[in-house]
Amino acid sequence: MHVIYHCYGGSHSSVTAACIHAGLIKDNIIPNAEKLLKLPYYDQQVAKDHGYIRYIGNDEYGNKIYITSKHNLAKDYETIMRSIAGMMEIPNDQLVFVDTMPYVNWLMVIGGYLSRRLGFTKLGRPIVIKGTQISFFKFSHLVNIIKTKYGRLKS
Amino acid sequence: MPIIYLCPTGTYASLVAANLHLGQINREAKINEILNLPNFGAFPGKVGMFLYIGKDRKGNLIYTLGTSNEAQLIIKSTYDLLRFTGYPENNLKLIDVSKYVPKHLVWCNGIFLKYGNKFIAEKLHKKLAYIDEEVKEIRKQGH
Repeated sequence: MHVIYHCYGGSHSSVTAACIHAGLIKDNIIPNAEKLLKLPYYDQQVAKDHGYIRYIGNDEYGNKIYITSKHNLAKDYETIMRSIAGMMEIPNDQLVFVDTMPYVNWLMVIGGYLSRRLGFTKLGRPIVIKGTQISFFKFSHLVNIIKTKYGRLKS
Repeated sequence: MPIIYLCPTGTYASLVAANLHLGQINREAKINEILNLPNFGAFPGKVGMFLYIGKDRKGNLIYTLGTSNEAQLIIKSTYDLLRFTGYPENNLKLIDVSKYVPKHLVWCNGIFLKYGNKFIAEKLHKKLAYIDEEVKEIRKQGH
């Protein structure tokens, strides 16, 4: 199964959730700034990278974990991708799209905008890291729901 | 093979391109012919909806899709999706024709609906030869 976490820019919330899912960080310990910055693609992607689906790793149930960005497409992103998958006869039950936007707090929005959009990394990065740490257990909770649904219950 | 023309609503530039592809209009088409295309300017605000327009001589299925202003993002995601699921990328063609519909005109359409359609049809009419050239290239590629 392919699990795709998606958010606005594919740099913070989706990366954090995907990395928890793939086991790159523990789900019960809030990571420090150094650990977050070592995560693949964390606070890295810029406009030209948006849309690409990046592979993060596998979970213990053999699911493949990815991240991507969808800008303002919101739910339309999943609708479009599932329609295209259907058109190409890709089994839709093999695809799981997980929206991480509901767990993004305003610190992540402001920090992410400053760092990724405006390029003020020194200013935006500490803010977005703080925001990620505040929402960390929400991402962790989301991942556990996904893992239970598409891993534990299916294995 | 599915060929999907993309524009912000799926009912303007992409619809014109799809109809040019199928030969239902040509580059000499009048503004009224554009306005009278089935579904032209229909379904405002319905991003993500596919419209099946027809089948070309080579058996390709021609669709339009509304992608808001994110056509390029959808193209990247789609080809990545095909790649990691192991489906051949060259079995699907996505063509972004958003550049023929200025962003503000689509917003105008949302506000003025009836008159907006005519306004956009006029703009597309001016660009018809360019859209036709792009469509010809797609047909030439031998799909």
